[in-house]
Amino acid sequence: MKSSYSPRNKSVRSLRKRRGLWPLSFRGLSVIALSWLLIQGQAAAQDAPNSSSHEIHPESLGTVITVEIVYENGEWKQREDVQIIYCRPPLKTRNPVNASKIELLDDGGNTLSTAFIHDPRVTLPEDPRVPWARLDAVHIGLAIPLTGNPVELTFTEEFETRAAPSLTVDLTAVMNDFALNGAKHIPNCEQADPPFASIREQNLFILRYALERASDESDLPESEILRILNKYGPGGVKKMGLSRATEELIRQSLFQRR
Amino acid sequence: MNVSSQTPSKNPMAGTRRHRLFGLIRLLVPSLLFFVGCGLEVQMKHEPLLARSNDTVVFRAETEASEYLTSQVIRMYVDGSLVKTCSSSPCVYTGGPYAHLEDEWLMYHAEVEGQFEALAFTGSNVAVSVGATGISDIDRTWRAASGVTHVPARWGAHSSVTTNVLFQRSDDYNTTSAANGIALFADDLSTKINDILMDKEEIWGRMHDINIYAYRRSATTDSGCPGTPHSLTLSETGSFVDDNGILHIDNFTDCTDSFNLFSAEGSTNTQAFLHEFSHAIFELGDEYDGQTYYFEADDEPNIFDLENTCRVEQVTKGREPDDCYEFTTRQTGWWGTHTGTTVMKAGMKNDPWSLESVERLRWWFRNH
Repeated sequence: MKSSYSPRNKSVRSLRKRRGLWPLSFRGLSVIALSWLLIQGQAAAQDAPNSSSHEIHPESLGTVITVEIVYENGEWKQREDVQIIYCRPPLKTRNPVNASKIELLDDGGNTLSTAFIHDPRVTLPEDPRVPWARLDAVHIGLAIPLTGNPVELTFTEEFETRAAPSLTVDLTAVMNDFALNGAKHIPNCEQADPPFASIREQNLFILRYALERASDESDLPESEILRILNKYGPGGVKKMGLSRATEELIRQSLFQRR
Repeated sequence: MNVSSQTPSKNPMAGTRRHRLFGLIRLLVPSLLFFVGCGLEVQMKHEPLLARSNDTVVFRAETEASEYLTSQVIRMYVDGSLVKTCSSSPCVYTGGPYAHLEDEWLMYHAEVEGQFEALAFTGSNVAVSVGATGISDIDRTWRAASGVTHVPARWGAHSSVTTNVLFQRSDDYNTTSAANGIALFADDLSTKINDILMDKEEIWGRMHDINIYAYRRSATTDSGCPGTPHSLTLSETGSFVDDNGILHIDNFTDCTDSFNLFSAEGSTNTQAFLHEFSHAIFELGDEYDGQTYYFEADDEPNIFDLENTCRVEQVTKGREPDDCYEFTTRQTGWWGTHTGTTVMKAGMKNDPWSLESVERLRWWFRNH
C-alpha cells in the first residue's frame, strides 16, 4: 500500500512528462507566474495547427513488410510468405545489442531503408549455472516499414562482422500484389490502435471518453471542444475553462507522435 | 532616466536594484524548491485484469506525493461517471458487472488534486491516470466476429507510440480444458501485472508507457524456456507487438530470447517474471556472476564492459568511482556498482533495483 505520506515519498519522483506538476497559484509569485505564462505561450505556439505535430494521418499507423524466418541447422531460411500489412511499424529497438540488420533494396541494389534488431540468437537464462550458448534454433518475424519500390529484403545477422546477407527474400510477387490490392488489413493491428475517422478530427475511443468528460464539465458541445483542439492543438485546452485535471486528461488522450 | 550614462557607484538606484535583485533571489530560490516539492502522481488499476461481462471489477487509485502534501482529493471515474471521491490513498471502488460493454472498451481514470504547504508557500497540483481494458467473455475472445484474437488487458496509451506486450499461456494450463486453462491464466496474469509489475517501485505510475495484451491461443513449453508461441502469433498480430511473454505452470528455468520473448511461471510469486520482463522490455543486464550473456545498453546501462566506463559514470554522477568492481570475470570481465540482492540478480519483487538499474529504468520511461 502506498500512503501519500509514506517516508519514501520524500524523495519526490522525477517530474514526469505528461503530468500536471506545476502548482496552480502561489501568493507573491508574480515573476514565476510570468515565466510560467511565457513557457505556456511558447508551448501554445509550438502547438499551433501549422506545426502539424498533432495532425493525424490514417496512414500513420504504417505500411509494413513482414516475413517470418527461422534459424536451424546453421542457416537462416524463410518460413512464411512475405506480407505487406497495414500496422504499426516496430518502435522498440533503437540501440540493439549485437545488432542484426534488415534492408530493403531497389532493383539497382540501392538501399531504400534499413532497420536494426537485437541479436536474434542471444538468450538470457534465469539460472546462471546453465551453460550458455547462442541459440541454435530461432523463429522470428522481421518487420520493416515499406519505403519506395523494393525488390529485395536482406537480413544480415551480426552485420558488423559479416559482409554478406544471411538471407535474401525476393519481394517481386508481394510488391506486385501490393500494387494491385494494397496492404493487407489485420484485425489485431487495427484493434490495437483504432483507425482515425479523419485527418484532423481524431476519433480514438480514449479521446471520445475525454471529450465527454470535458463537455460535461464545460457545457461546451464535444464538437466545439474538438474544433478548438483542431484549431489550436493540445494548447487549446486552456481556452475551454476546464479544470486542470480535465485539461490533463485531454492531453493524455490526444494522439501525439513523438 | 538614461542610466547607462552613469557609473553604477554613483547611481542612487543601484542599491535599490541590488536590494530588489537579492529580494527576488530570496523569493525565487525557496519557491523553486517548493515547485520541485509539489510532486504528485496517481495510478489507477483494475482487478480482474481480464474482466468478463458478468464480473464485478475492483478499481484502485493510489497516489504518491512529496512530504509537503497537506491534503488531497482523489476522484475516480469509471465508464464516464464519477464513482468515488476519497481524501486519502488508496481509493477503492467496486463496480459492474459491465455487460453492456461486452466486446467494448471499459475506460476509467483517476484525478487527484493535492494541496501543499512548505517554506511559507501554499499551492496545489493535479495528476491524472487513464486506463482501459476490453470486456471479454467465456474463452476471453474479444471482438471475435472481427477476427481479433487478443484482449487488451491493461491499456494505458496509444499503442502506436508505446511498448506493447502480448502474453499467452503455455498449453500446460490446459490440462483439464482450454476454458479452465485460460481462466487460470487470466488470474495469474492479473497477479503478475497488478501485484508485481504495477506495484514495483520505478514502474509504479508509469504504465502509460506499456500496454498489456492477452492472446487467446496457447504456446508450448515442452522444450523449456522461453517456449514456442502459437504458430499464428506473428501472422495474426502483425507488427504492433514489441515483446511476447509466455506464462507457464510447470517448473523449469526461464529465460529471455533476443529481448523479444520471455517466459515466467504464472502460478508462483514473481520469481522470473520481474527479472525476465526487465530483460525483455527495459534491456537490463544480469547482475549476477554466472553463465549468461552480458551486454551494455547504449543508454544508462546497468552493467559495464569496461572498468573505465563504470568509473566515468560514477564521476559524472558525482559518486565514488572506487565503488566500481568487477562482479564477474566472464566475457572478459564486467563491472558494476550493485551490492546485495537485486532484481537483476535474483528477481523477487521485494528485491531492490540496483542504482544503475534505477537510472536505466528512468531513462527508459523518459524515452519511450
